[in-house]
Amino acid sequence: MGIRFCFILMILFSLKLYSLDETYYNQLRSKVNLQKEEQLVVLFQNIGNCSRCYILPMEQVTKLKREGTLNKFKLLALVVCDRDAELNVYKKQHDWKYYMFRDDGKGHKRLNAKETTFLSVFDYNGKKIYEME
Amino acid sequence: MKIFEFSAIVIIMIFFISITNSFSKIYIEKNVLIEEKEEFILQNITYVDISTDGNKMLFSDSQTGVISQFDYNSGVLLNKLNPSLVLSDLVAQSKAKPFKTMEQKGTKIIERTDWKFISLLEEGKINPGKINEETLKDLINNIYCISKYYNNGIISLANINVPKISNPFDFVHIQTATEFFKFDNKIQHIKVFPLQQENKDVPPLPTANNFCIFHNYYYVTTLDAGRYLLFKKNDSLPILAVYDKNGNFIKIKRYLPYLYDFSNLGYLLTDNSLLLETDNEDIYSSFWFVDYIDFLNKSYKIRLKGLPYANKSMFNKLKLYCEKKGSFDIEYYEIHKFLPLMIKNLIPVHKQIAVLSTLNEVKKQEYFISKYFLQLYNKSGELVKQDTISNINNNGALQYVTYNNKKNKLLIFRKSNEKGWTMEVTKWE
Repeated sequence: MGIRFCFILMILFSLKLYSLDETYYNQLRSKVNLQKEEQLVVLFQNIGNCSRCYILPMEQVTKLKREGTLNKFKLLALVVCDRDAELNVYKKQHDWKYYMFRDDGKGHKRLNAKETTFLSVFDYNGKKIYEME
Repeated sequence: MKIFEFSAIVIIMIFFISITNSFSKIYIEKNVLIEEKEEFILQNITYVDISTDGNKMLFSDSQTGVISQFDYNSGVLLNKLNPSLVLSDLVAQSKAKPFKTMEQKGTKIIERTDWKFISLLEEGKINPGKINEETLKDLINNIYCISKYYNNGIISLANINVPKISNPFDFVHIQTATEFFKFDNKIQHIKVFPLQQENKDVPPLPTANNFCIFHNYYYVTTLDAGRYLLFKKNDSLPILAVYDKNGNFIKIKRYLPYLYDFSNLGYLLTDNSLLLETDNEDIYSSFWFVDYIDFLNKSYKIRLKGLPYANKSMFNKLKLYCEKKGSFDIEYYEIHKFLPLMIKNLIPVHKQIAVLSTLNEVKKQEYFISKYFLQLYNKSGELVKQDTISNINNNGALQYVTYNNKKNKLLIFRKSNEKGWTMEVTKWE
């Protein structure tokens, strides 16, 4: 009984380790004022990236919109940098008019995405509905 | 060793070191703000070189690939250079040649040597309809990795994306070519200085991220994990190649250290972990996770001392951990669980060598630096002095440390959201 209980606890613990950080997701959700019927589209970005790393996920967003996967959504860029001044570099580089926040390098992990992920789409509750590597 | 015993030892050692260093010997004499402009934001410092008169500083930022030069006394930005698309054409039109490639087709490995670089303008003509010029330009991400003062000018090691085609022609490929570029001291009048890749024994050099010039020879760090994946031979991953003043390959100076090879760590790291410095008396090299410094010219090594932890005994456990996990695809926090001590930087200081190292702690699935150690060794390997440096203070988080030998000052660079970049000019006694 005890061993079985420990085993279940271990499974629950490992599931927790490899799942979405709900507090972080809720913070993002509230910062962009996400509505229940909306999806959150997250672009994982670096300032030093090549243009391709920006263009490809943006093309994918257009495609998902066309296909109907995306209906009402909020677009958010998580940019790996330390300062607001660096975030502004990204804004200018891409003429970014949507939401953007600084990422301390842990954004991928907190949103349960692989380090190689460029784009993730979540529903209101944080369920991942699309991912692009 | 059990995790509690390990933690206890680390805590005791940190406590001991903080007591012995409670009277800091590093005094801040002045803070210099590093100038940034609307069109120029310094994101990261990979390397800082100080001019021979001690009055100018050359910054490398391998994140954005920009070179920038500052006045040492005022922190004013003197000039900067972005890694433009023109560099790709400069390489294509130079004597540089694409390296041979190995491709796996079924069980066979096929060697291809029939590559030819083409310029971006040429591409539009050669490959109409398949990939347009604009798309091709989007694939280009040129980077000045590291730049240093040399012979009254500046020399920069860059990773340049250059389009190439083969014979018979299939489609356009992009190769990352590692090349040197030489400038005058205002970072103008660019000239490409290609490294020769023709010798059959020369490994491909897809990315390089550090170099030093010693008695007119170029020592270049190389990284090519793909080669290991193809051949499964540990000795196929050289890490330091030597070229003469004309860019001709001379020899491989260093392969992976035994511990990196034995534990497979060398093949897990996606970054080149070789540290390299020179003061014209010798070449100093080390690796992130070892506990020694190699003097490459005089061929001897010195061991690090007085640090709170030694990684050496844990390489075996890292290997076992990977084997048990069934994968060598592991993350940095997993590496740091076994190898908490990391050498960040080697700094020549008046014919001695300073070593900046960190103690990394792991919590959950993240790691962070818990302590910075700065030690000074003489060339006999004696520890002359050591100190700790705060991770964070009013000027922000520590980013880089170097030494101005002309002015005899230890320079600590910090970054904060409010102040930007600050250089702490300190006296290290």
